Amino acid sequence: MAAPALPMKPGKVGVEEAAETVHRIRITLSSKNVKNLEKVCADLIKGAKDKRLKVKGPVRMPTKVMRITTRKSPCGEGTNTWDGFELRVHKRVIDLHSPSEVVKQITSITIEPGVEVEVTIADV
Amino acid sequence: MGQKINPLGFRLGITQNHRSYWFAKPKKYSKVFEEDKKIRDCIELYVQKHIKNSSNYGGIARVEIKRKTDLIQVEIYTGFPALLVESRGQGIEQLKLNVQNILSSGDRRLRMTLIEIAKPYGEPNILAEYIALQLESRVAFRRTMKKAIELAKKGNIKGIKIQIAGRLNGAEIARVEWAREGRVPLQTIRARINYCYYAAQTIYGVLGIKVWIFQDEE
Repeated sequence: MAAPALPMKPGKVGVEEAAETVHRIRITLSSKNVKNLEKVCADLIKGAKDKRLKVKGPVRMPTKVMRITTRKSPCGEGTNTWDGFELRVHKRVIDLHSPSEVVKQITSITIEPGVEVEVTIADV
Repeated sequence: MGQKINPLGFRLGITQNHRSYWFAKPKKYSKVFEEDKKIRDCIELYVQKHIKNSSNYGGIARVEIKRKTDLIQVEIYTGFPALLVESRGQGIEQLKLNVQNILSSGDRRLRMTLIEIAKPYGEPNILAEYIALQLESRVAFRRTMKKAIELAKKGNIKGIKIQIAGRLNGAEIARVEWAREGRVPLQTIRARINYCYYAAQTIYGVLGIKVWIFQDEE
């Protein structure tokens, strides 16, 4: 078996390579950058619709904001000024009903740097 | 007196792109970050060992790292690609091998490209390296600054500022000197300003060189 390009977590039953078994596939996209993320989402959904799969549209999870607040000063002297750095993680979830090979095809086309794609397969 | 924020960081969302562009979940973030640093150090080391000598400087403006799921793309922006590609065909193969050895898990492909910059002296990194080289060979600093500004003006830039700090001309008392040409609006966020800090090691100590280059607005 060729190693898949994406990290795949197998469902309860082993994943079958037979073309016709339809799996419930959940694609989770995370990124720091909304524009790229939305673009990859749109591409994925377009790709899935072209192959006429059942798609549950991008569900936007709440944005996680990781804040780091540090004193600006290297010493304790001066007005207490603080830097507030943030890292915003945006997450989108797309559900598909399709055989796994088709999904591999779609996801391998549309990868942009900075967007992490995770595919989970749960058998129907 | 106030202190100035690093103009690169100030403009990160607008007019300035991230030099490392990837996403990692919080658990793996530190490892990926460390790897990035190792890649950059490896490239720097390679340049230092093979290319830098008293008459040459590395000429690398920046290293951009983009990561996709199984592909690491390293783009080296250099002003003098001929220096990095030593023997024909061999070129960056050695560099690529070095970097690949550093990357821990080998199941990711590495793609390294050299991108040539049209006007190398329009990049502050290369200009700062040039100044450092001159200062280390004990050229008078004011002449160096003027010459550097001349070199930079050959490209199309709208303003340049160079600041050198430390024991200038070997003086006992350190001071800060700067020269400016054109305008360098640090407060304007939409101004595309490139900045670099470089340390020149002289026999009297370290001279800090800061170069700001104002390219264009937006």
